[in-house]
Amino acid sequence: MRIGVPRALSFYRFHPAWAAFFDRLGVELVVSPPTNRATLEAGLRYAVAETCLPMKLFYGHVRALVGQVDQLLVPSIQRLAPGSTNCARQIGLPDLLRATMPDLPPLVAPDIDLGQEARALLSLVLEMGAPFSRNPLTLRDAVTAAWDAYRAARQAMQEGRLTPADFDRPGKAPPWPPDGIPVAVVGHPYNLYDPFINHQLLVRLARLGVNPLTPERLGPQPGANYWAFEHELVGAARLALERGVRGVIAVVAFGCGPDAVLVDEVRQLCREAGVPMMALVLDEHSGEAGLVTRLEAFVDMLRWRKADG
Amino acid sequence: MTRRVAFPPLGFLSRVAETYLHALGVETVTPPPTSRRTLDIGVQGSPEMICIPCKLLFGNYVEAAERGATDIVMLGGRGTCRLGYSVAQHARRLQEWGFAVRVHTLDLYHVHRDIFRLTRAFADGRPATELVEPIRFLLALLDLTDALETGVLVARPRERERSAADRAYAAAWERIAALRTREELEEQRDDILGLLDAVDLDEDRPVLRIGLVGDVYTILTPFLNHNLEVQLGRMGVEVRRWFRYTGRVSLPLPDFLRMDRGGRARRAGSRYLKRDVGGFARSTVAEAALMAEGEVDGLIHVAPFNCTPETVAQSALVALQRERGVPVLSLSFDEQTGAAGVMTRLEAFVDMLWSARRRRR
Repeated sequence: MRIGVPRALSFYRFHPAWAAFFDRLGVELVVSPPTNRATLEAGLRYAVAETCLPMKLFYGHVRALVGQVDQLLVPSIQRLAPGSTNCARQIGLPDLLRATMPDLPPLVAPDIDLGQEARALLSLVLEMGAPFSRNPLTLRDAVTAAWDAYRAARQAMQEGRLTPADFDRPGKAPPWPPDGIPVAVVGHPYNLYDPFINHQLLVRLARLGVNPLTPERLGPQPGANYWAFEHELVGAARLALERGVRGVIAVVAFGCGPDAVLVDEVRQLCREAGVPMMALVLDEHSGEAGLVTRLEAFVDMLRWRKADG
Repeated sequence: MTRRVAFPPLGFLSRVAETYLHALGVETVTPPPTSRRTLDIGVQGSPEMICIPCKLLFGNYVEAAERGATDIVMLGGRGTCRLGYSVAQHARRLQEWGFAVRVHTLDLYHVHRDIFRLTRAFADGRPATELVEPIRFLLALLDLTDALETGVLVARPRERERSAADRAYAAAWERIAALRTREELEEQRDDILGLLDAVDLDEDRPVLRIGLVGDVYTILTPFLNHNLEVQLGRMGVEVRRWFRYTGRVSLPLPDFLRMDRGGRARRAGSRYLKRDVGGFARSTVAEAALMAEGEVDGLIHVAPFNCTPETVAQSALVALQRERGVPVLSLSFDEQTGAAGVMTRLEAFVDMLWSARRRRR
């Protein structure tokens, strides 16, 4: 039994948990290869034109797996906490996929709703694990392992030892320059850690002498109240400003519903703190040269500000 | 200071809301219809990348406050897409711009609960028993306007004299706006609907039936959709709007036990979109799937550009078109959409549906 995992969207957040969970159940996970031009082209054939670039890449990653695996892992991430919600596309992800591609392998499509009671979560695990193991003790073991792996990964990322890009090949040290200019880089992990989508933003920043502080490195952020993931981003910006970063870069995908609202909140926070802020909007037409120019200009400006004051 | 309540312009819904508030004895302020100016204000006060209903609604709220509203009913609610979130931002920005207004949220996920809650808030301490009658009036009002809305959509493509149906519709609304009690409503109901029945119709004229699905704000804002319903009517199309009040209120039963239209739609649509992704996406897909079972010749799906839930619905409708063979035209609207482009696409779609119908015969 081989289960395919598209290297997109929730991969960049939850893969350590899935890997540990299915490992205990003796299931092999196959992660699609890193994003490239062909991924995007395959995705564009299926996606509706108006959807966001991360979704288009998600379709492309699914295409890379169709025919290679027995099943596909496509969770519907609904809520992270009571009273919060998530992006419509991520909630409807399995439905979207089924509607778009007629030739899919069966989907493992659990409804992940962490805002529910413990009992509901238990029945979710039992239902999801049922095809792989009938033994509740094995399942309990798998869930514990998943939870531990998830927390260990968060810890390792906070300490700067791991990035979501390397979830399926741990051990590679990220290239952060420790004494670079501290700049908060806030955005969804699938926008920050996919070098294709953002033209190697983090590597470029490091080369320009910037120490990019991503939400993963800043550590847990307080309180999610509407869109759980996006509030973490606003929380990350707030946390970074408290720690005295010299600039903030918000990375958003064009057409992302929640980000359109929250980038404004980050801008507001930066204005109040008197810290420069730049919003990078990603879509399939954004050129590399334009991005490089803007990054260089932003970093130069940060250096001059330092020289002045 | 007396309370002056404003409800954003939203087609027949805002007229129902105002009539109801008058019946409650509450003063209202009618904001001007959504216009270019509304859009300019909205763009100024909104994040650049937010969807157009959020921008327009902010403009509507400002225009209501300019006309002296003290209380504004805002549409929102947790989980209902970006609109739910933007209520807090709108309220904050109104304060920043110097408008001292109280803000009330009408939660689109809990409409019935919130109608009661807002009624209590606006009734200023009247006991709940005194509010039963106004609420019954509201329900009767919704039932009446439902019949009127459906009536005008049916009459428009068949009228012998251009705009006769719209004139009758406007006259009917004048009568409705003056209603204050349920007795008055019951007495005049037949007269009011009779205004529309009196329009001279060509019953033998062949018409197309097109289901109109998608975002409710877009459907109810002619400024945004370039007067879509009227244009379709003049092309000889009977439009079926997906949302209707009648037949949607049900006991809280699981879907498979519901015999009303809402329940049947939910079952038909679950194949294409099972999960609630916010906004009107799931209801839209459900109604579209039910209408695709032979009720209509084709479907038009309208959405604001980049509406997150409606892009999900759009993908589901692609599957519906593929599996059921019902033609679907997806139109998305924003401040850049030109009227001519919309008309061209509508005409082409209507032509295609006519030739499809001829082929079937």
